[in-house]
Amino acid sequence: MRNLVLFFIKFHAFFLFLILEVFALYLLFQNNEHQSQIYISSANYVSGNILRTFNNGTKYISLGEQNKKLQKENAQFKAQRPNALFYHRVIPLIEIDSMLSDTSVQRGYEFIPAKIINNSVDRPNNYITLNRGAKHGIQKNTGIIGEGGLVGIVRKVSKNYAVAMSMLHRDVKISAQLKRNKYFGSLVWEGYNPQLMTLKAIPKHANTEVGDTIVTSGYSSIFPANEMIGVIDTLWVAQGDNFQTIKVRLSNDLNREEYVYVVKHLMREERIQLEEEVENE
Amino acid sequence: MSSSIPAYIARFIILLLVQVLILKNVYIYPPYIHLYIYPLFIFLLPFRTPTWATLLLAFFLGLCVDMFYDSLGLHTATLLITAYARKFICQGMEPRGGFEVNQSPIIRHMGLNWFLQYASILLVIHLFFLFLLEELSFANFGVFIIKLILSFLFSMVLIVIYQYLTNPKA
Repeated sequence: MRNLVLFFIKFHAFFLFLILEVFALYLLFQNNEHQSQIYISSANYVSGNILRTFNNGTKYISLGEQNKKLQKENAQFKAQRPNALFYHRVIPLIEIDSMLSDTSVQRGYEFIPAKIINNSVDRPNNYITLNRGAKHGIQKNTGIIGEGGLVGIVRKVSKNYAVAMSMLHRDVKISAQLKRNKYFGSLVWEGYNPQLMTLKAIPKHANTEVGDTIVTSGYSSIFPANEMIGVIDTLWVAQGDNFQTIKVRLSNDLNREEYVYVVKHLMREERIQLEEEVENE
Repeated sequence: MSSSIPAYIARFIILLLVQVLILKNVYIYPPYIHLYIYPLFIFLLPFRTPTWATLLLAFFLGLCVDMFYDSLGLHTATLLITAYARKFICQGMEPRGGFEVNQSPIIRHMGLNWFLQYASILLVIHLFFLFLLEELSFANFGVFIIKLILSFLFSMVLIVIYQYLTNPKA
């Protein structure tokens, strides 16, 4: 017994190393995304506040550029309003009003504005922290859309912050389709180049060309349909493969995204419940 | 040592904040250069720091870095390896008469030449395990080596500059 105690005392450093290392590796390799992990992420109270404070100090650097972006976006929205359209048929003003309050149309999505306070693009798996959380209505597994492109998917939500997988994350799989002929496949990131993603499972016979636009399919409840993703950069068919390999050049620069919108699918619960019911049958 | 504890706490906070607020956001394409300065905290601990204390500090610093990188466990596991390896590197690089009581592995005490050798070995160990655990494969071995070499060179420059800027005394 005494020898055993002496043995442990003699090699205490080694055993301490072993215990801590095993614990760290356990944290690294556990796959369940448990909510308690939020305490050791950038969405916790301390780190979130540090990031937000630092971000408040540095946000003025890009203010001019951000203003221009927002103005451009505003202009696009203005152009979509009914009173900005030119009607070849003379429509009385009352009819335009009724178009705006049409009861056969229901709002399907809301967008929660948020700001990125932590971001990276150069790691094998990149994460994004937003300055909005559960308090502002953000939920797990919702999409983030930026200026002219997709940004990521929310994975963890704390009271005031949310952590999302960037599009540049190996676990991201997005249902995307060719805008022109509606062939759809799944979009993944294979690392290294933050401008290129890979579109898989487009059949060999599908007519595709370099420059074709890729948009979201809307087949998942994460992103609305027809959101711009990018254009085809290169494509080829590997020998013996039944599918095309398509490299998609993203339309947005994820390294420069700052102000983004979190998609809030208003009928999401209903949809997910229904889809699960069918799957469990 | 007890009188210099506030200095160590300050170094801990400064290195952590420089790492997560500034160096994390440095992005050079293609993404082969990753700058790391936080392991310097472990490098600079005095020689007489007990290994268990080094390990606990490494664990805590690693967790803090992981918190900001959202890479739960990655930097913790890596820094623990580096901290444990430090024990053997120090033993191996001990001068013939042994270290003096109040000596630390800093340029002021050991000279630039000794420090460069010491820090290089530890930094290579750190980056090697960091990139390995991050990628979990040698599939892109060429990229792995390029990343290791470039990240090592640029991080090393930062580590030396940091010491000349702050000129630690212990």
